[in-house]
Amino acid sequence: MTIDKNSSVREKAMQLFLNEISFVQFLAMVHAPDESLQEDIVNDVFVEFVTKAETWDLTTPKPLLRKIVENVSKRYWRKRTESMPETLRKIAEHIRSVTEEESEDEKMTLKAQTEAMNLCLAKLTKEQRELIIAHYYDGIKVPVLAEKFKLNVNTVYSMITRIRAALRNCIMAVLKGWAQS
Amino acid sequence: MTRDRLALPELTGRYIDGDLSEEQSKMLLALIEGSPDAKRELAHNVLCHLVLCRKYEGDRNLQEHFNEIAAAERRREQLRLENLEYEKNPFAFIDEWEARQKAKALELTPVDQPRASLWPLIISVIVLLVLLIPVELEYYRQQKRFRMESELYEPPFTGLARIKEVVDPVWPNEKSSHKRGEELVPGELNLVSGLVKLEFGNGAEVVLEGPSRFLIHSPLRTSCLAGSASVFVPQTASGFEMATPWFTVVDRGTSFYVCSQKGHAEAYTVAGQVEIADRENRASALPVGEGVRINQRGQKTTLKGVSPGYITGQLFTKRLFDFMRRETVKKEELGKAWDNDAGLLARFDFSQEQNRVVTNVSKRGQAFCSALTIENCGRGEGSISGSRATRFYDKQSCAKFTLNANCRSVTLLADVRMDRSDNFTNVLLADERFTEDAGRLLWQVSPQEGVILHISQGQGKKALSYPLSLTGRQIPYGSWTRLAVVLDAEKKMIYHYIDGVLFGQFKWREPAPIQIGACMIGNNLIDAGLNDRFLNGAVEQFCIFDRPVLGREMRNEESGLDKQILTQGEER
Repeated sequence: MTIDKNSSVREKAMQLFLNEISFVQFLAMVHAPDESLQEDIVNDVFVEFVTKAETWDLTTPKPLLRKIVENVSKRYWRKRTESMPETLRKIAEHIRSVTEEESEDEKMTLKAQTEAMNLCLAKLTKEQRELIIAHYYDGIKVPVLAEKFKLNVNTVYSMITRIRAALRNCIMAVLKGWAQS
Repeated sequence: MTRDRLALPELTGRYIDGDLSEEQSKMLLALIEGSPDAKRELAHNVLCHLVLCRKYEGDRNLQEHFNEIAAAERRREQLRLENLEYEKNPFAFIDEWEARQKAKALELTPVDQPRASLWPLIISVIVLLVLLIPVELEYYRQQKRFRMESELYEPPFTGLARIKEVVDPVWPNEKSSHKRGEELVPGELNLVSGLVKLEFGNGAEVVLEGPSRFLIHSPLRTSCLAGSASVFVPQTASGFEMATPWFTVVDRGTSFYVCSQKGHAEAYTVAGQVEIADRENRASALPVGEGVRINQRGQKTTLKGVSPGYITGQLFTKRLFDFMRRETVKKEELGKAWDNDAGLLARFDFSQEQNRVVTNVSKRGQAFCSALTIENCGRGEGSISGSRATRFYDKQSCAKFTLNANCRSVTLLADVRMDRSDNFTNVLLADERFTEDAGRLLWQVSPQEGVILHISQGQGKKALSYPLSLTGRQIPYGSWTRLAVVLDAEKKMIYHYIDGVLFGQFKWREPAPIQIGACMIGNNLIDAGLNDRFLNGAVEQFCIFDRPVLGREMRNEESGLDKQILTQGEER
């Protein structure tokens, strides 16, 4: 299928952006690892990408989108961390540096991660799955969960962290498997 | 150090949930600075947390989709019953509605309410005959409640299939392109990218996401050769089939998802009952919340959950409104066009750091709008929509201004986001002297009741109220909506618009010049101590025109600049 050659440059840019939206979302997550910023960053990147479409070379959009996401994310991240206490700001910066280093693979998209996540969640034990669903789907906070499961609050925090670590390892294994096949 | 290292999982969990004390944050910082592994573990955990948040947000949307289906069925039934009631006795129906409004205790003044005794009833009948019957009988005769510009309230479709809605569609070429509302014949539909919602005459709906190759054979038989399709099938279309190169899905009611790719296809049951028939015609049921992948060799893999590619009704609507907003409401350009519009009395741009006010002193000598003062409001947070608009949130927040203008026709337009989902009455605009002089305005909105415009008649008379529709219409909360109300003195009509689409109209019972004086956006301080009506949300821009603005102008399809030509010597 060919793209209509008569589309305006802006429409072409919009279409390209939508094709790569999962990639952009993943980069936004990596460069500004705060969930509340992600959508704003994606919106701003979209506006910048499309409004200046005539100035870009749209034959290879991914490196360009990566650059725009980096710039926009840094702006947001700077603002967000400005008002953070010093210690938390340093922790956040460390996280961001690690996630940036590990995000070079251009095939990495949020969609791929989510699909892999679905497979990995199926591999958890029933209790682990219940805990994750209660915390993420039902939005139940950890202190309430601790009371519900009759556990120490610290224990619940640790359990959820360990489950996330296991999910992360599983996701990377699945993505590696897909890449190889 | 070992003990501290053991504390890493707990500290990580607390950090992600925002529950770290100062001492704990110092401990965590020391840990990750002392160990690259610890730093990586923390970062990976954060990323995983973000992916989980996204995934479960999608799942919640799915649940809301099911709730939407049930709510839509209830509304349809309610409308059908109201229709029957109205036809039995139109006047009693209107009386009852107005009595319900009064019982809900509108802001300052109750709605005009016909009384129970005979003479007022006769007078009400005459008034209603003049004002309401032509509009309402026409709707009930033609199965429409209002004359609409938008396709959203068209009569039920009975053909084979049509394009109901599009979001950012790209077609392979001019010949294969389709427009919104276009009826389809049996054949192929190719979509390069974007979303297209198809509506079948039997009620089935299919949302295609490009790139996609879709075939329509008959009202109940379709094929998805490439790409994905999210399908909703009501009971009236039970037996609806969608074939892929490797299997056929037969729906027995309600929703499923199909994705065809090179070498394999997947299907998921979202709700109801679905059967999968492979190439040897062996059928098996696919339970809710499960999926199956079948490849070209006929190998089956069971999948759990629902694919994240499934487009729920709510997600489609969100993407549609986002698309409409991005594409058709080009804020900066539109703002510039309106800033030059001679019919503009005032435009408040709350999205700028310095809240910008543009006013227009036209040759008609309208007085200047005095300074906008913003009280107790904050800049908007980014979490819901990324807006930097001004945020109103309590009884004390408001934006005050004074505009001395006498207008025959008025358009009020606001880009608003409401932050409460309940039936809270959000005040968009209130005239400080609403209950006193003639022709003053009170404009309110709530997610469930919809929009109501009140016009004071002055001289001790009760205000007249013009709601969006008789049964109200839900205005989405938590997302941006362009609301507008147009008072057209020439046509003696009041029009309600949502995102540039006409959603309601009423006869303007006593069109008199509207006086816009000292006003407030976001609050009504008449009973400051008792006031429980204010805007709980944010405003990006607010415009007041002294002319009727058309729906297509609100959608930026036609700039007001073309119509309004500034004459020499006109001041700004």
